[in-house]
Amino acid sequence: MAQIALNHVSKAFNNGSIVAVNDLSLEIEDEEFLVLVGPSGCGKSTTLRMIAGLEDPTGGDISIGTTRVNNLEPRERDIAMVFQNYALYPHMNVRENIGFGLRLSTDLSDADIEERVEDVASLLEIGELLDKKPKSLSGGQQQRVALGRAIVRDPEAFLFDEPLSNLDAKLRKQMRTEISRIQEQLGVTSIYVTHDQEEAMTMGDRIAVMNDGTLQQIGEPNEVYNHPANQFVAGFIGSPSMNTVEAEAVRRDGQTVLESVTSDAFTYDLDATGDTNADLPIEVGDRVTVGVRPEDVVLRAEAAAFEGQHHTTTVDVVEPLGSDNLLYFDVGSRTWTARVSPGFEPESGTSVHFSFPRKALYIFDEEGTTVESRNLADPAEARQVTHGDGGDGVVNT
Amino acid sequence: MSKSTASSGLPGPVRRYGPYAFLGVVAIWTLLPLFWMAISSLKIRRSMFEFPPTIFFDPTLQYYVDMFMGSNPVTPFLINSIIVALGTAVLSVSLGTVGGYGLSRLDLRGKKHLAFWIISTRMAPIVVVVIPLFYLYSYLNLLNTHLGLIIAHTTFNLPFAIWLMRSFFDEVPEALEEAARIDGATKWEAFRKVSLPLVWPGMGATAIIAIVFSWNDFIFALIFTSNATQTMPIAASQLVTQTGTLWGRVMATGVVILLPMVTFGVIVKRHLVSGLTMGAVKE
Ligand SMILES: Nc1ncnc2c1ncn2[C@@H]1O[C@H](COP(=O)(O)OP(=O)(O)OP(=O)(O)O)[C@@H](O)[C@H]1O
Ligand SMILES: [Mg+2]
Repeated sequence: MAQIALNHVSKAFNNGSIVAVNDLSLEIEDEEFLVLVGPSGCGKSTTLRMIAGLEDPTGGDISIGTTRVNNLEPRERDIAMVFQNYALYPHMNVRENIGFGLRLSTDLSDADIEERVEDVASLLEIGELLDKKPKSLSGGQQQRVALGRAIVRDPEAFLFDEPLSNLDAKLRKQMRTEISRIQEQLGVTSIYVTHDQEEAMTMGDRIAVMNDGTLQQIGEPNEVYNHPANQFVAGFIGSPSMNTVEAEAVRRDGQTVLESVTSDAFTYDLDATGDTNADLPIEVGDRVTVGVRPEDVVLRAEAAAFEGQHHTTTVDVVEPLGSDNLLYFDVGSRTWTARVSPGFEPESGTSVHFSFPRKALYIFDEEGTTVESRNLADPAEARQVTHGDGGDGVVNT
Repeated sequence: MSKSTASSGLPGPVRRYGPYAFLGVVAIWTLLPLFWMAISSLKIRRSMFEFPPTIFFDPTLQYYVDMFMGSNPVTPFLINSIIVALGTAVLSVSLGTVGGYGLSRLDLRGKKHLAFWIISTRMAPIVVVVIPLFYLYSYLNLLNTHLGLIIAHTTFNLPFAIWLMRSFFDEVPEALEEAARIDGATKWEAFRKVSLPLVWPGMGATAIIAIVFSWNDFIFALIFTSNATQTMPIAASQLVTQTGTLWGRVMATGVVILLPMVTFGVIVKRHLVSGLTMGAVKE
């Protein structure tokens, strides 16, 4: 078991014309499960492959445990990797696939290897598949074999490159839990690459968000969700994505008001709720982006249900998810989403009213850096903070 | 029915039986001379030239007996042919595998040009290079050696062997080798234990192509060999003498040249087809 450290690691392809990874520094603690998440092409796989030794960094140092591994071959790094397409050896049966690494990298006797292969197979419940060729297995079974091949070697670290993206949604959820369980049980330091933010949120001890080859933020899932470092992270983590609108800070009647730039449909009085904004580093005239999570939007059929400021809008589409409904509507030429309780299902075209608590607000400056993030201890607080007068159609009742 | 007939523009029976009729014509075209050769090798000289040819006759194995037991037996030629064909196959497959692997995996600049250059060496007719090669060979003392002929045949097979093997390696995902290297394999072990076993059909197909070329080659063998190393096609040509052509033995020799290839072909047919198409079709 070991910690892994990346120190100002960069990787450029084609003589520097493509910078896949740019000055990345990361530390993964011993036994930690770190999820590396980001959109397609942001350099996640390249990062993982550099740790594995399949690509040479063009700059920086990588160490596993206390050893600098830059100049070590993959086989000398004592890591195991699970590939997106599993990369099972087609000419070997499951038993041989799982035992391949042990045969190459240890002096274990055939009997010992056999025993360890069987142990791992029973851990993964693939004992009855041992004599089959990969081709005759289902995707989920192949996935388990690939996992088995990684586990059996008892390596310093596991590297996963989108291992679940070829599975159907249900199996993916199931394997997600299983991988987490096994990782916890074995306590092996793991780096897990995915472009699926939900996978990142549910699996990671910490998640590292990348964009364009650059690390955006690293932190625990809740921290990244509640306090994203910038607008990119805010938009990437969370589904449906955060609602945003571009606004300008103006002074009106002695109050600081955020006013939508593209239309006058949206204004938000920062001072109205009584929370002080003394430490809010925005000044009158600043262009900012306002963000609100869909679950923090409070929607009501009646305007009277709100005590304070609220806005009126028209429902575009209602998307029932069973557990709750997603409601789409326009704000300042952007489409916003609200997550509401399943009982609230207005016809599209109906007029509705929305607001959100001051504490749910995110504000990003012109560079996209977060200047304020939501300040709710837990999402449920949103409902209590907002005007407690009940009525039908209350969010997330 | 009427609709599909209209769309193909051909009446039903033509569409149904046309392909078979065509294939039948091709088969007769190809097989008739071989059949003629085979039956002629069993006829005494006089009846060989009767017209119309007789189908029912008293067969004789005299020419075959002569060929192996009589003067100037064919056996040494046969042995030479086998040595050269196998040598060519081994060399072509080994070098083709290494070259194809390199072409498939290496991140070379101008790889496309290199690949084209390799295959372009195959475009010159053999006669063009035979004379310069002859001088080169005489200088290197390769004339009249098995090795010399093997090298000549390999040279001509190699471009194709490399291209064929390259397409096979292209089908083997690189991730397999990467997985092996992470699992503890060296680059060589990853090649040996993972990629190589997956291109067996390709190596088989390459070997067959090399053997067929070498076995049938006449011009290199004619120019580069003399008594000790001559191959079967030369044996056949030597039966055309100043005093006349020994037609019976020509026919019998033809059959002996043909027979191993036909047998071989039937045995490996399935592998050859799957081998050649596997390179072309993505799984
Ligand atoms: N061998 C290579 N040669 C040239 N460019 C490459 C190479 N490998 C990756 N890149 C480029 O580097 C960038 C990062 O690629 P990478 O595969 O790491 O992305 P990723 O985050 O894993 O994306 P995905 O989610 O699609 O797998 C991309 O722009 C890609 O085109
Ligand atoms: Mg990737």
